[in-house]
Parts: sequence; C-alpha cells; structure tokens
Amino acid sequence: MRFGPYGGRYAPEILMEPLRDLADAYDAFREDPKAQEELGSLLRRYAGRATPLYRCRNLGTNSTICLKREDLLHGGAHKINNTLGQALLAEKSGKTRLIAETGAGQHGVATAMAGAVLGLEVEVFMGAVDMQRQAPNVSRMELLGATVTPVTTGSKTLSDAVDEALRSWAATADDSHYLIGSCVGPDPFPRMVRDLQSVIGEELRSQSIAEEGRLPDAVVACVGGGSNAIGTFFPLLDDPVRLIGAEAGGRGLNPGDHGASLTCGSPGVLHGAYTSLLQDEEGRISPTHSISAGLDYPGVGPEHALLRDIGRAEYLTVTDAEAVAAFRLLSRREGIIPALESAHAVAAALRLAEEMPEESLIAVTLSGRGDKDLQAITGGGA
Amino acid sequence: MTRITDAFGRRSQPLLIACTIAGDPTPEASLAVIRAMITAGADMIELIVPFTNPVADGPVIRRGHERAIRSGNGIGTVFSLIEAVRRESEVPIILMTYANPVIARGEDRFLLDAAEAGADGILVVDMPPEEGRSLIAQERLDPIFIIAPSTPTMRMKEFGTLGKGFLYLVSAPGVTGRRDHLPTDLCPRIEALKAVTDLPVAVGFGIGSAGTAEEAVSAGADAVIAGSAITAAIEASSGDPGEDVAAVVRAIRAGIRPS
Repeated sequence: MRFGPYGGRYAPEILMEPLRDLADAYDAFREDPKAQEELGSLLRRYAGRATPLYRCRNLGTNSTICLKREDLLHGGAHKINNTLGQALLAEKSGKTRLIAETGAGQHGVATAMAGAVLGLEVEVFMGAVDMQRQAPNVSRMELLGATVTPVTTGSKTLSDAVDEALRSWAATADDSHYLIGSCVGPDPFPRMVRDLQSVIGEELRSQSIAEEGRLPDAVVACVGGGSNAIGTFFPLLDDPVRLIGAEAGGRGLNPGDHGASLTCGSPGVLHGAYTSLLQDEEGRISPTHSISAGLDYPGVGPEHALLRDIGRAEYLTVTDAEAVAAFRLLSRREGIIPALESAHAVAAALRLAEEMPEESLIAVTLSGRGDKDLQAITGGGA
Repeated sequence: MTRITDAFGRRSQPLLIACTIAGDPTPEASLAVIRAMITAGADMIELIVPFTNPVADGPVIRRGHERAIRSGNGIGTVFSLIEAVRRESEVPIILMTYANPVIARGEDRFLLDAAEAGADGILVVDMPPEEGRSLIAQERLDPIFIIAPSTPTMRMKEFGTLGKGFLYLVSAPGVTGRRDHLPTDLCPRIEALKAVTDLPVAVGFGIGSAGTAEEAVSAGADAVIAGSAITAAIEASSGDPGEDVAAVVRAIRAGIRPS
C-alpha cells in the first residue's frame, strides 16, 4: 500500500513472503471482533486507557493548551498501544518470539512488557550510544525478561538498530515477529502502527468535544518516526483542525545537527519505504542529532510525507534548547515531567499559542513521561 | 548476447562469481583486489555499491561498506572502477546495490551511467519487481533477482521471466556471511527453481571455502557467489589485499569441479 507516492515494500526478497503473510494476518486480525475485543480489554485493563485530556492551568498563554496524557499509560509512553496490538497479532499468528528495535528505549520497554504479558520471548536491538544515554530503560527491559542486544555499527543509534532488527528477522521470520516501533518500514507496518495508535486521536477527539465543548483548533505532536503523531492526526483528518508535527531541530538545521526528515529531507528509500529522508546527493543516509533519542532518526513514516505534500499537516522544527526549556517549564508549572520527545511538541504548542488567535484551543499529545531523560537534562546534555 | 549469458554459455564447469565492495578499503586497493580476483579464477565480478544501511548484509560485508564510505568512495568510484576494469578485461560485471543510491541518482540515469561505464547486470537488493518497474523495463543491464528460501513457486516463475543472465539463489534464511556447511535442502530447492526457469542458478550466502563451493555445485548450482570471505581477507590484510584475496578465490575455485 502507498500513501500517494510514498510507502511501498522495498525489502530484500528474503522478507517479501513474511511481509505478505503479515499483511494477510493483520487484515484478518483487524476484522476479527474477538481479537479486537481482547486488544481493547488489554488496553483498558492492562495499559490504563483511556488516558485523560488535561487542560493546563499555569502555562500563562492566551490560548488554552490541553495535554493528551499518553505519559500515564503503563510503561510511561504511547508505545504500549502499538506493542500490545502487534504482540497479540504475533501470538495469534503462532509466533513465539518478538524482535524489536529501540532508540529512546520506550518502545523496547513496551515490547518487553507486551512479550511478558503474552508469554513471548523478546530480543531488543539498541544502538550502543542509545544504551548509554537511556541506561535506566535497558535495565527495565532486562528486568522484564528481554534480551537487549547492543548495535555497534554506523552511528550506533536507532537507524542502525533498525538495520540489525531487520537482519535478525530475515534469519528467523518463521517463528519471529518484527515488532516495529513506529509508523515506518515496508507495508503493512506504517498502516498497522497508525491504526493501533489511532486510539490516541479518537479519544482526543471525543474528549475535546465532551470536555471543552469543541474540537481543538490545532493538535500538536512530536515526530521522529511519527507514530504518536499519525495516531493523533489520523482520526482528525476530515475535521477542521490544524495538524502540526514538531521535528527535532537539534543544534540547528545544518546536516548532521538535527533529525528533521520532513522539513529538510528529500524522497528516498530507507528501511523498506519510500519516504522523506535525510540523505546526501548520492543517497547515503545522513547522520542525525537530537537531544531526544526517540527523534534521532533520518527517516519518517511515509504517510507524514504525503500529509506534508498535500498540505494537510504542517511540520516545524524545535531545537534541543527549546525542548529543554519546555521540559523544565511543564515540570515546574504543571507538575508533569514530559519525555524530551514530547517536550518538542510542548515547545511547538507554546510557540503556536503566541501566533494563534486568543482563546484558541491547542491539544498536545504528551507521548511519554520524562523520567528516562533526567540524565540528559541534569547532565548538561542540552 | 550479453557478457553474462556468454560466460554461462562458454563454461565447461560452474562459474565463480567473486564480490567486493567498490572502494574497499581505497579505490586503488579495490582495483588491485578486482584484478587479483580475475587473475585467480573469478569468472564474473559482483561489485557492491557502498551504502550506509546495508540491511541484507552480515557483519563482515557491513564493515566493508563502512570502510569504503569512510575513505570517501561513492558512485563516482564505482563507475570509475568499472571503467578501469573494462579497459583491461571482458569479465562480466554485476553491480549490486541498495535502492536508495539508484533512486537518488534517478533510476534511468543510474542504469544508463552504469551501462556506459561497462557494467553488464544489476541487482538491487531491496527493490523487488513490484517496486522496480524501470529496472525491468530497461534493456541496458541484465536485471538479476534473488530467490529466497521462502519465495513461492509462482514467484520463482515470475523471476524466471523478468530476470536475465542468472537467478541468485540464497542458500539459507538470513544475511550474507560464511557458513561451515550449506543447508541440506539446497538440492531440491535448485531443482524446484530449474523446473520453472531456464536461467542459470547461482548460489550465494554462505559460500566461503572449497567445501561450501563443492556443496553448492554438487547440489546443482551453475555458479557460486562468494563475498564475505573475500571481504574478510581485505579486512585482515596487513599488506597487499590483492594477494590475500587471490588466495581466497583460488581456494574456493578448487571446490568447483567440472560439472
């Protein structure tokens, strides 16, 4: 399946049959009321859905900013929506092992939790650099029974971890499911992850109408691979709501200093999909930087590239320093420590609140909590 | 008739296809390696375009990609090497690449430039026929396709029709790299493939010794493809990588008996 010109299935032949099998299994899973009820029950009773829509009290802006509190989910991030869904699909497909990659560690933790609760073996590939900067999450994954395998090639970050997870899947697809962590990769992953994360936007939509009496004027979400953002945006695509993605502006927009694949990228193929990439003129993937490991990725979900092209969503960049300032502000003023990824969205919302008409309603997906990022903040990582 | 088809037509024994990453570790050493492979008995060269995210490659070849990129090699080096080889040899050259360098240059331009440099075939690892229309439609280079252990019969047949030169049969699930032995189901898999195509079958992934080459040939392979063992020799070389690579090629060559 493609999103306009984007998406597709650019994969080595060794993965083509597993991908076709997965697409068939997912189509059946989506149409199976019993499986969907089981997933709904897990999301409610294990993960902690629905998450609240919290109206900020003390940010001092002329607009109202509401936070969709995915940070309150079990594990502390939206990632559990996706991992429970894919792990359940894997279990129903007769797979015994989950392979995952992780950048910030949150997806790895969420996969380890889903594997533990469903009785599936878990191996998580993680860049050696990310393992250092997200050490607490490595410990959590191991405690949950997962094997964390360090990846020491390339830049030793998320992009290399995805490469390694794909290699592992190529060798073990018979009994293993590759539980991809974002709306990236070859079909069916982008649409499957989008569907599983759409619970965010569906709840946000109904809660905004019920509690604020209207739809938001704008919704904001951070974009690395883009799973929390597409899950937020998708149910609102037909509504008169501005959709805004906040990308990692890092240290600035020079090559190698950021992770802004939509703002600065060009079309190409990475990890199985045609999308917007950070690359050089010869198609080599560029190094990236973000203070937030979860946004430190040179590609993006292909559906975001389409939404950008057709003007349905807007994408802007937030620097490391702006994200850290928003991280501190939200912690101090609202008593909520956001993930550094989410702090990018908060920073973008604060900027928008200055630009939009007074009394605007801005909803922000707070994709995760920031306990994991304390070292990056207090250690002078900005 | 292309150089590839011609090579299979003239053979008195299975062919040896030797792979190396263009520019690994430097353009000069890379040319010496290619010359050594030809002199030591390679019937065909598979030249790999250095790429940042080679997902189908095992650790040895991955490090080769990194070495080549670190020393500044890009598409220019790849085409220069092909031109340099072509000035002195008629050995068939297959270009192996990932999709993104092809797309970044423009598919038509990439194919044209590769053909003009003197390449004979192209294998784009992550561009299946569903996504590679221009690859199939063009006639400048033989499109080479990979058959995996999981590839269904109907799809094998399709590759037999769309592909030219030969089909690249992956010996076992996974990524590139040497193995002590090839899987025992290789022979029936080669037979199944030959039942639906007339193209020669080259076996790769896991061939790095006389023993594994012999196993592939005994199973019915028309050619064997060796890459990781050659790249490992470059990596381990403290002096002239050409000498070390030649020794590896001669060793593998020794495993190929007249068919």
